[in-house]
Amino acid sequence: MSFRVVLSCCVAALAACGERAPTPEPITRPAPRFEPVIQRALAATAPPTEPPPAGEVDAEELSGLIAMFAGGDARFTEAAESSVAELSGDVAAALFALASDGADEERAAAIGLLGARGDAAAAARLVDLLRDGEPAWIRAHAAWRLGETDADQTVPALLLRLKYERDHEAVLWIADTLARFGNFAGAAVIERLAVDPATPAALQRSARAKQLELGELAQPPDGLGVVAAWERALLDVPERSRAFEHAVWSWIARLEEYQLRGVDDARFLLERSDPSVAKLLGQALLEPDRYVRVHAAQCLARMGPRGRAAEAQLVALLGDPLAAHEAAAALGRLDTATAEAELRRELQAGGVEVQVTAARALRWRLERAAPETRELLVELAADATSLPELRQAALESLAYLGELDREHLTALLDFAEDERFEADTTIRALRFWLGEHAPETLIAEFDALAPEGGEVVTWDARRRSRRARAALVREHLDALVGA
Amino acid sequence: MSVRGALGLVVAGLGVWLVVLVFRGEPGAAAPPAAFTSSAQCKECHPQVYAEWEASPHANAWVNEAVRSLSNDFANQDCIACHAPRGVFDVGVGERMLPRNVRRMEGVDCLTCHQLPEGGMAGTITDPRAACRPVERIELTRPEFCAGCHNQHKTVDQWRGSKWPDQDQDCRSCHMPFRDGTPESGRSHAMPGGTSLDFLQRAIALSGERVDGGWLVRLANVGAGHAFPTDERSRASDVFWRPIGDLGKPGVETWRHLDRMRSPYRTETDLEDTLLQAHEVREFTITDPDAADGIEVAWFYKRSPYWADAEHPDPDREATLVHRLELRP
Repeated sequence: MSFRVVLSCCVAALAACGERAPTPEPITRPAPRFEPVIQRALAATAPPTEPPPAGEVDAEELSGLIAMFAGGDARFTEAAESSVAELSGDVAAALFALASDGADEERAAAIGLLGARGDAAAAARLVDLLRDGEPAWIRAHAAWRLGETDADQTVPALLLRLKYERDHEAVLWIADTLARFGNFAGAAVIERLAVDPATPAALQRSARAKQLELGELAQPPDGLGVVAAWERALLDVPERSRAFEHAVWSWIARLEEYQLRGVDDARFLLERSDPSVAKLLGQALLEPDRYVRVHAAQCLARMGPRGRAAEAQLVALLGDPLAAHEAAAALGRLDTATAEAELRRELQAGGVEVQVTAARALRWRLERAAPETRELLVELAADATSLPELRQAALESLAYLGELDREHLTALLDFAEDERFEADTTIRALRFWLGEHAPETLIAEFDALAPEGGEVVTWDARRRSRRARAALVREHLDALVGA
Repeated sequence: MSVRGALGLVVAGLGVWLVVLVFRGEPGAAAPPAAFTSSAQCKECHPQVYAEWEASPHANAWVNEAVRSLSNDFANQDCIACHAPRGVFDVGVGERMLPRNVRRMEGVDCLTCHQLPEGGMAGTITDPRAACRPVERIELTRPEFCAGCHNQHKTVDQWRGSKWPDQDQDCRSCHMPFRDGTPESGRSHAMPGGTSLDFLQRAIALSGERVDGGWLVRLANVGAGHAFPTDERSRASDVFWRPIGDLGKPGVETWRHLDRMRSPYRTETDLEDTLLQAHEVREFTITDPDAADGIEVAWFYKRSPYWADAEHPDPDREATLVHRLELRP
């Protein structure tokens, strides 16, 4: 028996007999059982097939209603509104044609009557006008009139217009209509238009009026603005129609597309949706297509607390090697004690990439983080044998949790200066911590050292900036964390 | 003897058995492949390949300023999937890539293309004695291998629609040439492309001639295996002209825009796709009276599609001059 063998034997024996800290068992999360949920949901929520509209539209009568509506007399307008609901034939198509061309008054009246008719066909035509109408006031009118219907299935289309619409008045009406449907994703835009000095005066007045209306529509808890209450999922959501769910599933189906443009549209509107959509996204996490799972988890991450209805499915997704990383990131954003506990489990014994994500994701708990979470992050931050990126992530989260002592801060600054590692997240964590712990003058100095703007910031400029900011904090180390 | 002590003895015995098993030195017995966690580990055995890669756009994928700027520092998280990707064999050859969460500074590294999920490395030979246990994998040579990233910007589709596949010219033919022209020397991992002026100059041709009433300028995609530029929205190419009398004057004051080749970004819904497709020839006739005495034409390439001042583009400062031409009566 060679010396090598004897030595190995002794090591093995010592390893077995010595007093050791218990090592957590690696997590064995079962892989989720995938099933074609989208296909099923689309079939289950599909609108009933209706026969095509019978008969021709009476053009003369329609023309009369347009004239009544455009006249401006409230009694005639109301009469036109109720009469248009009784007309037979493909009224939506006829009104759409009138809205697309002609004198402005007649176009506006046609859009108004589409809103008054308000059935699915009319709502679909209003969505067409909302997307393609020219000039911009047509789109603004279409958004306004959609708000007078019950067609909540148009919410995804309205949300998507927030991405592409450049006309401020149209945006204002889109945000307003969304709010009427119980979606406050546009509230931030209204607030911005209301206070931005660059907003034209008339539009600013409208935005301020809408801002007041939003407060009444949303009824946020005392002391909270609509935007904050929406982001924290504290607002009531009206019961959604089957047509709404069908529209949402149609967009969830697009998350599997190879080219990312469609995916990006879908993600944009889904992440701005109300908490009821989180339930559907949670179901989509079981879809066999990996990209649906990954992108649905990304949507939930961006929803934050509005995504809480998908918590259980996100936990299950931690068992999917291709999407576990996104699941961990999303769980952090849910900001719940259960999600925090699951992330802790991953941090103790998950795969290394998920560990890094979990360490970063725990930062969202801020002052709500449990003592066990803090202890675990402190342990990881001090473990020189662990993956450096894991230590870096743990240190960054400690900064957000307000747990940095001198040793941690020094280690974080080392990462900020070490060119082998990405430092943007570290610099952001430092900036957050300074915001809570440093005097304003130091924060201003730190901010002034950010790389100079311009179209392109070179890597050298970034490198210089991160070194300079780290050096600045080092200079003030004693004052910040004591000697 | 305590339970723990007894357990220790059992484990020690097992340890002896295991160690003997591992070290008994039977001829031909293979140790498991080394664990690779960074491309830096490849350098020791593959210094030439490593040096080529280290200076390549692949190595620079996470830190280069153009992608930093265009992705808003990767706030657009879709970009991460190809600028710090997981292994191609891990995600699946031909599948769209997924992002990795560690070693991002290494960009598109050795492990991205070569690491096998079951252990070992994909290569062009199988060698159970080498530390990285290379296994011959034909997928490495196929355009589908590159498609997981490069077809996201439709480059592989553009190649498929060209005459190049019929002539057995694929991604490697241009971007991974043999080092000295022979297979024995192996293929370069420098991955030249839009960062190489020589490559750009061979990809496109600029010519012109006198025609009735003016000057005919001809732009041709003669050598790119895909559209020029490719990578659609993230790149642009512009052609300018100016009267021959303005030669040598500041370009920002004298260049007149003739054509732009670019695919719009997803939010730029009012722009049309003007990429110069593989083999496409585009002709323009310049009839401006200022051109009567002759013109200078210049074809530029930009790694970012935007100008600092869109109203007054300054290609001499902000873009790479690929070809220039003087046309005189």
